[in-house]
Amino acid sequence: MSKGRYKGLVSYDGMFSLIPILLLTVFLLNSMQYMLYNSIEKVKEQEKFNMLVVIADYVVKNAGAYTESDGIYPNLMDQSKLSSNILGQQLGGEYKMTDLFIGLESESSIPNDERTCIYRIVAKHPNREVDKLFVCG
Amino acid sequence: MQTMEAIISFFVFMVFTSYLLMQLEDYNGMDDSLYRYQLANDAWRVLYLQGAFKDVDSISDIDSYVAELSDVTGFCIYVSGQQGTSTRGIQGRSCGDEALAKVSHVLIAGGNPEQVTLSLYPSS
Repeated sequence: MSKGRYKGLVSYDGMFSLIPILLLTVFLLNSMQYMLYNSIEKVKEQEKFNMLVVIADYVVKNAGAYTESDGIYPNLMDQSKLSSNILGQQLGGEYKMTDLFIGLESESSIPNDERTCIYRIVAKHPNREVDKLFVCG
Repeated sequence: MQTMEAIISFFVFMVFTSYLLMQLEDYNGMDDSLYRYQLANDAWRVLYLQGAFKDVDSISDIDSYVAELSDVTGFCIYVSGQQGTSTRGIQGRSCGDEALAKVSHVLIAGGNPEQVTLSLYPSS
């Protein structure tokens, strides 16, 4: 048998092999793209969550805490500082977070939208009732 | 023969990649360990602000405070001491098996310092 007769068969086999290889490559690229976008989204969510945790901690320990001449009382919330989302507007500008909400559960309506919310356990001044401080952004 | 091998390899790869992607979906990469630790410390701090640790003879003295805190927050709060005394905040409510966070503090009970641990469990 001459070499020429085999050559055709090898070419057909190569051509059919190429199809799954191409499909595999396309699928691999799509999967890589999906993983990449997925990880980017996860990082963004984590960044946002970390930012909310930092802001909430700052509010609980400083910005929204009750102060007297002898110092600051962490976790004891001064309601006057938290009314009308004053802190939310102020800190939202500083941290470049639009629509930042900071408020007590008992005093204000918690946003019921797509914003991420976290809360801290606090006591209200002066009656020291237990409450939740919500930070949404 | 090579075509068959390629097709089989392709399907094996598809199954393997789908499995990996499903694992990726299930994996929640959010790290909230610091936040959970802060919540446990908040619970302790609020108990302190409410005067729960004033003139304490045993840990059971703070039962009512822990119960109130548990009711408001929705967590199962558990305070345990070295001497086996303990109090669980929520009565008659089932709590998760794994603690969200635990913090240890020294409490003066009956005039003696005692190491106590406050544990925060999710209520289920």
